[in-house]
Amino acid sequence: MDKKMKRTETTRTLRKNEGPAHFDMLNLCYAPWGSLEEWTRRYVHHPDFDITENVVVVEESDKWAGGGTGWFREALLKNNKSVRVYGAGDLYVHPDHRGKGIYSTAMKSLNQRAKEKGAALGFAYPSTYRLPAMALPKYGFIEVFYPTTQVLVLNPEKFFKFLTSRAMKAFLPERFNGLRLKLTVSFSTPKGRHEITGRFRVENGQVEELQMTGEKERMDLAIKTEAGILLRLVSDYYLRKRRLLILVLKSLFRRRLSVRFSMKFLKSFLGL
Amino acid sequence: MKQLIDEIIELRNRIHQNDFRFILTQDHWKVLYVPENTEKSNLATVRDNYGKLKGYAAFYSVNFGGVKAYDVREIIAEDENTLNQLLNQITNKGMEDDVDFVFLKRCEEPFSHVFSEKRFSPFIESVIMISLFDPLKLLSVLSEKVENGKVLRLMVKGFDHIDFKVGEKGIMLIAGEEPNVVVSTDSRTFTRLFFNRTSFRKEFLRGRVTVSRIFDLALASRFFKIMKQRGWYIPMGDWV
Repeated sequence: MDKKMKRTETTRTLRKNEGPAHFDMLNLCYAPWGSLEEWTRRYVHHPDFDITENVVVVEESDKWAGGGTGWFREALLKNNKSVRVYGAGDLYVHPDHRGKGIYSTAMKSLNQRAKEKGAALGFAYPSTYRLPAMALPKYGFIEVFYPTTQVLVLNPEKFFKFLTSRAMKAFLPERFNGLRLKLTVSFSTPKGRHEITGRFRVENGQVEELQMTGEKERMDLAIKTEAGILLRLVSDYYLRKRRLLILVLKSLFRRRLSVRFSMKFLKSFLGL
Repeated sequence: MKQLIDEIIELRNRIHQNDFRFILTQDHWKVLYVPENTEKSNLATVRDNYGKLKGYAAFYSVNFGGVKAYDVREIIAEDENTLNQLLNQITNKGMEDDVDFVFLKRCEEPFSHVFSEKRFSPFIESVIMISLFDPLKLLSVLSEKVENGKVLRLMVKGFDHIDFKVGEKGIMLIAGEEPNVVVSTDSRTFTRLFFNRTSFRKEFLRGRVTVSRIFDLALASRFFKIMKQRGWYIPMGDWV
């Protein structure tokens, strides 16, 4: 079953007794991946799924370095006849082995297995702002469908916290360090309209919440918009850069977006 | 429950009978749509006066570091009114449960305006990516008996060529006959044509599809028209 990929790199499938270790590995690499219930659902109860067949492990010098999983399904075409397809997912690389091509080895091995098992097509469902969406074209994947996410906000304060906590995980170039940002978002909920403002600072390439001192703080960038526009701005930034400019102009013109910035921000933005 | 799942599968197959979709069995549904445990999972259903299922939604609560959300794995409705009722059920339940937000993904389905009327905000956060492994396997499924027709050779870069007899309404895989026309393309363009994301005319003009005999352009166009899928339906529950 083992295949020699490189001088020190080998691939194999997961062994029957390695389920708990695989679950731990996913949680270590994704930090966190999810619950044991979720793992059991996807890896034990999923129909026609066998961890010793569908889960690929990449080892480097006999050390577990990464892996990935393929789920097989039958898909119906327009004439209601079926064809075998596979879905790639849960690709991970151990933190000690990042940057060595482990992801690539796992992906190639999964694709090879899928072909051997008779899949005509491979599917993947990455988020537009995460790495796989950019990496998968190297392995033959192309963007085909764009499902629309619909969000209904019921608790604006919590949703705002959720959004900003995600933004705080992003890394920004060093030139943005020291900038102060103000974000005001209006939400339309079944209970009415709400407006929430957050103030942030960029330190060491990361966005942090700014503790207000009571005095009027100078802001380098102030954005005021609606939740729907903000979500579309973020998605267009990652997916449709050409549309982003149109959306910005349209929203500014319709007064659904207002942006104020200082010279300091402009210089940082332009890298001057 | 078994009967309800059968009704759900029947409803999905009825509404999306012309769409590219995954086969949903009872076992798949139980794992993909009622995850973890049933206490966290919720079902919303709408029936007509005779008890026939007109729409349903499967959703469950998820927690993002103290922020509670409803993750709607599938929402499927026969008509606008049914969709309205389902969204009301989900929203009311969400407010009862102190949920902070509700999210779902739609596959280019009708009645999108219902969501904006209910104050949902649309945006694109994920993408479905596809890799072509075997065009022969894919197209052999569409092969049917064709009595009369010209022979078209399809050459997709990176794969062996495939010969078809192209009739008025169908295509048939054949072997050992000299082709009347050779059509060449790359796997990216082929996949996009197969899933109806672009048109033969557009790709021909861009030079991504070439046809050996210009007089057989209509034949090539018919081939891609017969091959292409009409729509697609891959709800979030089917994403693994």
